[in-house]
Amino acid sequence: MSKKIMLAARKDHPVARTMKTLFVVAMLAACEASGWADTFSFSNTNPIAINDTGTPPTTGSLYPSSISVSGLDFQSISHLSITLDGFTHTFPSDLDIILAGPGGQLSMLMSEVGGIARFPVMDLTLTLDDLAANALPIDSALSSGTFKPTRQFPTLSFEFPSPAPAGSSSAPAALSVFNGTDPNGTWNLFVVDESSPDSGNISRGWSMQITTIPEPGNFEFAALAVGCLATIRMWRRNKRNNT
Amino acid sequence: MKSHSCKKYLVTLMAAGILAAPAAFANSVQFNFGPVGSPSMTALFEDTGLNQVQLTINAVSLSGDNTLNSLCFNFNPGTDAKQLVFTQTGSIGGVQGNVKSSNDSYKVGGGSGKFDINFSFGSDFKTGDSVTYSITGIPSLSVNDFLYLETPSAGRTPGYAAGSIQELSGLLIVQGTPQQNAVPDVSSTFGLLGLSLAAIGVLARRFKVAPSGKMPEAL
Repeated sequence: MSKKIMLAARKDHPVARTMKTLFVVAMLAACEASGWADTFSFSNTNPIAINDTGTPPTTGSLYPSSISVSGLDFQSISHLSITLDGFTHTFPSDLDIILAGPGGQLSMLMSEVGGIARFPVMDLTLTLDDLAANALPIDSALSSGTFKPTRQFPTLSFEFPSPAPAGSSSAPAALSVFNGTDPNGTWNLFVVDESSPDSGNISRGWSMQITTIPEPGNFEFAALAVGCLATIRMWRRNKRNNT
Repeated sequence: MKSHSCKKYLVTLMAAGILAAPAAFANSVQFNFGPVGSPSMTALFEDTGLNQVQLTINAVSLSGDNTLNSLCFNFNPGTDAKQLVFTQTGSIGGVQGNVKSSNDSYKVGGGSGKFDINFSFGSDFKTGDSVTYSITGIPSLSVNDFLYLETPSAGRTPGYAAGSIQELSGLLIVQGTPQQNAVPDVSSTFGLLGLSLAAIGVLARRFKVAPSGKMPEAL
């Protein structure tokens, strides 16, 4: 074993101290990459009645149906999925559903899917997730499962009624629009029935599964601070040893 | 007295003729899909007999390699559309259609209202092709039973018929505009002709009984 390594092995040697500090920084980075990413679930279990009128678009009974997210300080979204629980409708392609995030981003979860002929469905559990293997079916019946957010056409011929934000007719069918945003605040689900007759409900409401990571800015600041502290400590140690 | 009875007879005949006049024309309704004046496809409904309607769908002028994908029509809402019987009676270009009918059960594409009858075709319904159906199954069926609007839908004016054209980039939705025609019907026309001949015969008799050199009394 060389002399240098023998010195580094001594607990109070400056090189050992520096290595220890670097180890702590590396551990922090590892936490950032894995351990700090966490998934939280929030829900609103109030049923949403999907009514019908002779003058569509007809808004859901809760318009919007809201979920308030809090406590995820210094976190940003890395992945989001939405679950509609107890989905029933006699003509599902009548429905258009958008999600509005606290930052104003919009995502079309489903629009004009589930068959251009009558395919009634009852009590489905639909999870919308960008990472799903398949889109919701456009020409056939819906079934429970996990699907990509899906819309039949890029735009609707109408805007969602107020208080839905402007731009609803062309909201992208992707939940990635929320990635990197602050999850805290009010999330709103807007449900409309665009065609008469037919009706339905989402009997057990909806939920969000939010995966977060520390906000990039906060982590970098923390790493910088740790690095500075380590440098100062090393500089002091060297100075003490020299004197 | 004789003059009066003749007058009554003639008036009765004329009234019968007037009443029979509408029946002397079989209705037809043509739905034109696409640009006004130069439709890309047409659907002609014709009264062809008692409780029987003939439908002829023509791909008149589709752009490029586009094909007729589907057509939707409405039906008298007071009647069960499921009772309709469609029999394909002719085809040009080997077109085979699949027909379904049920009240308020079909959309032509995203955002449309609901229709009662849906024709879907494969990908081989090209310009110049046509298909003909005989429609039966409902008492007192006539072309007027197909003149109803789709159900209301957001951001769209309800139409009488709609179709979808398969383009390279996706489906193009087009509305069908109805144009109602009245065309002479053979059996009714002969009936009316018979009434007219009878009226002429009565007039001739009146001329015959009138004193020679004198015009008959004014009717």
